[in-house]
Amino acid sequence: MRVNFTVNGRKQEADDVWEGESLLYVLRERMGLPGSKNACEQGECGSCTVRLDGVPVCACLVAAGQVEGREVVTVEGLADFAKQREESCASGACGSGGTSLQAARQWSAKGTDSQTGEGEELAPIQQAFIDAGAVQCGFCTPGLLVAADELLERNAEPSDADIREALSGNLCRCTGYEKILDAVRLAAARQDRQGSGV
Amino acid sequence: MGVTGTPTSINQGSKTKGGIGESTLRPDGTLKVTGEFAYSSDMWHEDMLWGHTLRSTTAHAEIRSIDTSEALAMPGVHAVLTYDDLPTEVKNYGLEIQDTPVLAHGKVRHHGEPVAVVAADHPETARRAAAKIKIDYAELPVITDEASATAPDALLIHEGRDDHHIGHVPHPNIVHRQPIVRGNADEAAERADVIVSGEYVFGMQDQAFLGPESGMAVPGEDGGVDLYVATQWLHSDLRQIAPVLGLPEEKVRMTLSGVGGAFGGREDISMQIHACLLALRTGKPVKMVYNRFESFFGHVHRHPAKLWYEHGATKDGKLTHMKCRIVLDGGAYASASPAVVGNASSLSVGPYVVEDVDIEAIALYTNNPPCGAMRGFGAVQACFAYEAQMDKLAAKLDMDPVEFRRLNAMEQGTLLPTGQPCDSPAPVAELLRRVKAMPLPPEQQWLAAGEEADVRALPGGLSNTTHGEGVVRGIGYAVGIKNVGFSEGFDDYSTARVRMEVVNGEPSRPCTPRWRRSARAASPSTRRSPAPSWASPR
Ligand code: FES
Ligand code: FES
Repeated sequence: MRVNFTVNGRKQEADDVWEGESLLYVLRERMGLPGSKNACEQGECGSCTVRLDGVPVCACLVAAGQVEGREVVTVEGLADFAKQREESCASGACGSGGTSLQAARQWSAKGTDSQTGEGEELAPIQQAFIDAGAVQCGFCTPGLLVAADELLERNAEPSDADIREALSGNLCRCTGYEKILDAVRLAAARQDRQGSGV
Repeated sequence: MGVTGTPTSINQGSKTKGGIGESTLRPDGTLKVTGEFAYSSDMWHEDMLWGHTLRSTTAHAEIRSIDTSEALAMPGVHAVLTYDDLPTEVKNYGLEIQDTPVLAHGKVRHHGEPVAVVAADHPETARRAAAKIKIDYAELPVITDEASATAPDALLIHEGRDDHHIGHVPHPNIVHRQPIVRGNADEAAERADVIVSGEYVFGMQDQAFLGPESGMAVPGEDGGVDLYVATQWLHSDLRQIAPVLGLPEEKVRMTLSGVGGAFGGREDISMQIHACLLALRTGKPVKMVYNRFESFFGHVHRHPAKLWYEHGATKDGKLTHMKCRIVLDGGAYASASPAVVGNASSLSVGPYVVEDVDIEAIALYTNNPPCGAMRGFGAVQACFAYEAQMDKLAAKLDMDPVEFRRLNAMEQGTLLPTGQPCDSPAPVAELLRRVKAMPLPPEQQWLAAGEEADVRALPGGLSNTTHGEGVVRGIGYAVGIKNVGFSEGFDDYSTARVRMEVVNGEPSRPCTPRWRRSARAASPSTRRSPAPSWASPR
């Protein structure tokens, strides 16, 4: 079958999709967007978390056909997504636009510092993960970033219990989670400081 | 006598900017937060095939026949390989003992053992083809523990062993045995006012690293192969891969791809050889990605163990002696079992001073899934048992369990059971003091928290199945010991090569990080995967 949907702000179409394929498979294997990770394919680990019409979902549990006509944001589009949110909030309007698939595919830290994120356009939550040391092997990171970004979108000052609740569907085997909590607190604090103009 | 100073703060830091000991950001952090970092499962190549492994459904059986004809006839299937298709005389590999068949030959020794591999143009096609392979198994009696492994009529898991441990084991179904005797435990036992013994059972555990086994093999024009893989040990992999492919090592070019965690579970070979065989057979790049279910079959686990311990102590709380017997279940293939036996025995006393010890550790060959490296590597199983013993001893002496441990805690200079002096700081008593001083949550938290309480902060947390009313809290303390680096006096060294260049009068870092040179980066950027050939046309 053929599936049409919007990925990171850009209309896309996938051909020859078998009905049994998941959104995750189509993103990773047909669209060249392997940022969303496959760690369980059964909705347990959250590594495949993407936004589907704004709602965080496990892409491994969404049949590709269910996405027809809808909007998906993946980790590859997160920086642009956050930037547009910030701009539209500043101008008091909400809009969608986004990264071209081509741009997302060519996402690369080339010419920037791969260590500090300097020179790279990152979402605040991405920068906070780097700064707080919340990334180890990084396999859980894309899913956690999408989930944490959504939390900060609806709750600018999350309590620790809020953070734990929002991230309770995401497993990490490396960090022990403390640094991930640090990163979300850091992103919230920076957002707060910006918001209040300090 | 120490060779290193006593640490004065948690983070030793560095006085030199960029110097050794300084906390630093990850070199790959940006790539990992943008989704750009290429993990082994992200590899993609135009024209690539998907590999799949057919695994045994039984723990111990003779293979009477294998029929692959139906699988081979399926549209979209490019190759089906079994033992008979292996290209050279060498058909086994292994970390230390080469006892593991690339594909099962005549017999399977554990549930999940690879029997055949398939390459097809869609992963689902490969899975369906594998399901069409017919194998006729004749079940054999299973060996699951020490009694069945060493029974007089026990079948041998491996016939005709000729490895270097066979001369030192009491039975061919024992991989390795490591006794350690120091002082005289029987004599020392006479000084004891109390003696405690117990048997402890420790279950199997899995590393469950987040990124399942995966990689891609690309056939080279020179008859060799390029392998992109997530592994812990490229060099050790290469020594095991090249001989069974019948290739010289320089024709197997290994590139480390992004590794999604490991924790010991990637020390052994998983899909490496199978992907190379399929790539060499089909002349096409072959990608293999285990799913979570297969991943539990795809790597070794932590050894389950049965441990028997005896300790004695005097009235004033000093340990007199320790005797123990540790039986580790190594499963069907050796993997790292000999080293795990070494660790279990040499660390079996724990972080305590005991002069007189009588220790024996063994690992068995059984029909259980193979066990090998996992964080702690033998030290954890022993810790579980000796710490239970410490609590029992303290109770028998009517002493506080932490105080009892502190009285016997090792420190810098203590002799380990092997006679090796501990030449670095070992602040065991101080650790225990600090842990004990930590505040406990309030009693009856759900009452203390009051009406307004956030239920997420109470026992039961998010799942909200209890607020703690039915929860009984027990408090226990435990401490363990683990070597750093390899164990048992292994010649453990590391080397580093540093190259400096001056560009325009400025020092510069000349190297390109290897993780950027992925097959994915080298491949065309547009992807079009075919539909599975059995699927209905769009
Ligand atoms: S891969 Fe989707 S939840 Fe684990
Ligand atoms: S960083 Fe490895 S799983 Fe989270």
